[in-house]
Amino acid sequence: MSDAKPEAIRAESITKTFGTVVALNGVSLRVARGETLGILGDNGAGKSTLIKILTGFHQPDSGRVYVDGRPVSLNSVDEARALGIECVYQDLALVNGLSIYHNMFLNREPLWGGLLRLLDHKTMRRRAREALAEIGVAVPSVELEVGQLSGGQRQAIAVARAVSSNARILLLDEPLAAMGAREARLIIDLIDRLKSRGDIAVVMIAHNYAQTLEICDRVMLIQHGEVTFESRTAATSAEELLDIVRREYRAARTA
Amino acid sequence: MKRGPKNATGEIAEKAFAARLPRRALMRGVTIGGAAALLAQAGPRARAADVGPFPEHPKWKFVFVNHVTTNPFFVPTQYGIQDACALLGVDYQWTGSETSDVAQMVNAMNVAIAGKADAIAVCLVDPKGFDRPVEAAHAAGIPVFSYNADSKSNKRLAYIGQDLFLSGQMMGERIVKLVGSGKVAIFIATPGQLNLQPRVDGAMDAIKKSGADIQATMIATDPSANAGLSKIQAYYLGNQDVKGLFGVSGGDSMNCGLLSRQHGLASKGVRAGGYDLLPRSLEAVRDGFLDFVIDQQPYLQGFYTVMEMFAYKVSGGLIGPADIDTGLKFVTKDAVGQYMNTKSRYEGSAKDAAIIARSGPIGG
Amino acid sequence: MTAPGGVARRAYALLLRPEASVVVVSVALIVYFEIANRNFLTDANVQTLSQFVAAPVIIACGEIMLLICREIDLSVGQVFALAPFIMENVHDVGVPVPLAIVAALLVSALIGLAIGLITIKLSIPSFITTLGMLFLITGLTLTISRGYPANTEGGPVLTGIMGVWGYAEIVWALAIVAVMHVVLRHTRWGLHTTAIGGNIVAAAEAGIAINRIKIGNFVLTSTLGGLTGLLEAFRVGSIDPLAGGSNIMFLGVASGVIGGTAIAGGAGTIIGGLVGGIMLGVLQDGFTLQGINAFTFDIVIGAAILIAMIANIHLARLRTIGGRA
Repeated sequence: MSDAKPEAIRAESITKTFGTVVALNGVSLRVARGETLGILGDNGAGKSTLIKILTGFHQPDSGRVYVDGRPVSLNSVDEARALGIECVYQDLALVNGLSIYHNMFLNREPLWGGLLRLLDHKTMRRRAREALAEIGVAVPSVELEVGQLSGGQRQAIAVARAVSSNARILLLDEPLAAMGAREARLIIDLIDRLKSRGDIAVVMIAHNYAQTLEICDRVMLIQHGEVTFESRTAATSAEELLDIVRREYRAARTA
Repeated sequence: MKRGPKNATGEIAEKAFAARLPRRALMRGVTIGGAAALLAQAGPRARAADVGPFPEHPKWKFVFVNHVTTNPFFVPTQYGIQDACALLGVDYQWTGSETSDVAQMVNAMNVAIAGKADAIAVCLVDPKGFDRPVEAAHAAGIPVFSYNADSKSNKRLAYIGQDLFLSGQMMGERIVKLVGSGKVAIFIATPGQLNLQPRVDGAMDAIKKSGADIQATMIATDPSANAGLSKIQAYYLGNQDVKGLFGVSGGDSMNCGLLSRQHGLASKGVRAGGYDLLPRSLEAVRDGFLDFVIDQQPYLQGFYTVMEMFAYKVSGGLIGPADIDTGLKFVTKDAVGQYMNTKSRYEGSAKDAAIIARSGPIGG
Repeated sequence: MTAPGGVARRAYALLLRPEASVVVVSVALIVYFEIANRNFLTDANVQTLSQFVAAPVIIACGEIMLLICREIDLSVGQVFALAPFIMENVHDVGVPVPLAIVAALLVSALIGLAIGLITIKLSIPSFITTLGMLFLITGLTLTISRGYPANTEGGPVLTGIMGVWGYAEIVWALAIVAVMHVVLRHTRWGLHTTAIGGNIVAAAEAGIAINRIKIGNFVLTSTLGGLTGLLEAFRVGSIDPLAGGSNIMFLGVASGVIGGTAIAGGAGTIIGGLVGGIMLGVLQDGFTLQGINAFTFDIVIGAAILIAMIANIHLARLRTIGGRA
């Protein structure tokens, strides 16, 4: 099923070094439209760095990135955004004191009044409601301050923000971390709905093997800055992944 | 000296205080000053009389606007105001700025005008800043007097205080007598402000007119005594050939004395002096580190101002206005003893009212 | 949100806004002072009251923006004192007064720019930067003025607009409050300032130009400080090196904080700054009118500020608890 879908984003042989630490060493990945890729690995394995390179926050030392098959150089977050790459970070990047709709349009606010450049609150509220409805997230009012929402709702808002800014490639950094089962369910359902749209490619960094296998179409294992395993989730299992991890671990200990 | 015909009363009152003349001599003229001296002589018993010889009147409110409301120099002034108010059955308010902030003082005056004060007294520390508020007060029928500092161009009815320029001149003459020739520094805490600048100007004027070979420089210090001491110290260390260090305010004068004591300047032939009777200044005079301090009699600045305001109100504006010179006294080593040994309400060093005993002939 | 009983709920929500408690306290104070002294609401006193209020409020408009993005300017009171001397010096070399005023404002803005650049580029806490600036500018003012006060110059229309007309200053203050309120609530500048204060990481990740906004707010505050100094100098007719200082800075910050701007940053209200300034002005004017003497004055003002703040914080807590989704 996967190769028939158009490719959304592809990275080839990405290498990134910080000082003397080699964060990524020749990592490649490929995600198609409507597909969800899960990236697993220990802390410090290089997952966050990879995401930051894909969003334009960092620039790779070597390697190429292709969006919709065309080579691109992502020199800034703005440039990546312009190409439809949005990221939902671990800290959610939400301002607690601002309302839901202000957060959703932060630094992309629609304006009116010509030279006055005044914030168009009404339009923002309307579009926020529409965006939330579209991906099936329910909140009592878009005027509520984000700080007053539950963890799952905040995550959902963060995702909705990315989607509403016409993200075509959605990167999620540990979306289910520190979330109870019920809240995680909310997000899992949300990601399912995104998938069923068919036009968004989702890359998800995660820790929980079971959840990742449930949500994602394909899964990738990164250890010590290298890809040690890659497969369609249907063709693998949590045990197999754990085996690979244990092997690496033992090898590292006896080394 | 500005003395109008009405000022005779001020003269009598001052002499009465100083000389403690027997009551009988004063009964001859029921002048306000006489009445005041009379009643004060009688002591606490007289204060029970609410109104004295005057007709019944409302408890007028006199607002005093000051530039350094918390400065100890004005404590005897406030006592003077309190005593006069108690004497005459009127009320007062003490307000203004703590930091010589003219805008704050103007605000306080405006509130007094809006609050329909019965009379206002203000220290005119700025040449023009108070012109409009004073005009506004007069337009509203409120008489305004200035005390402690004056501005010639201002339309205030009268000034009660020391003739600042004259006192500066007298200090200048004394400097010439003490120093003879050489370099002299005159320190001023707030240059340009009208409660201090005229003294410096007067001193410079007298020094120049005397023709003596004295190079006098004006040095700015600081409204705060601590910072001022550092500045005076710094000046001295950079100019150790100086022959005289003089201040025109209490803090600076005290600091000149402190400096002289620290560096043993008196024995080196460096003269020093200044204004106001701060305790440390008096000690310095007693111990020979200051040659003199000038008393501007702050008690009278409060007392007489209330008297004038009262006279104006009770006579419907027919009495007054009259400038009152609250005098200038050089306090030197021979007289300083009595000042130091006396804790008196009239000098601000004690709260309780008590007659200060005095005996013997009056010195020159 | 428009459920039945929505009107009552909206009214309740209005009362829980940070500005509301200060309005309530101010109204109570005005009523008290008017009863205690019939002269409080007279034309003359209202004008005097407006003069108490105007200067701290204008300063507050700048400080509030800085407080929101977790900065502060301690030196604004010194720029207040410096600006009129710049105007006077520039005028002395032959420049007409209106241009001299512009020059003074430009210098004020440049000082703000310097503060912003030092704070941001050299990563020095703004508290420290502006503390140093405070002394620096004090010395600069004393040097330029040689410690002497000076007179303001200008024709009747210009000086009238700049403060001689009794209500000029409060008109300026209200106009600036109106503009700054729109900036804070209805422009990107204001929204992003709030975002920076609320979660600087989020603001950075959203691509907001954090440095530009912070530096801009420093420039704004210093310029407003200079403008206030000019207005007060014209009102009194005298330019005084001792004017303003830390006192006016504290009054400005206090107006903002009493009005509901969090001193720790992240949230603020310009209207609150106006209301806080009114409350402080009512206190100062009212008690002076009452005849409170200088010594007890400070006790009374201090106690009043504490009481107002306690009421504020209590109501703010209710707001947070009651507003949970």
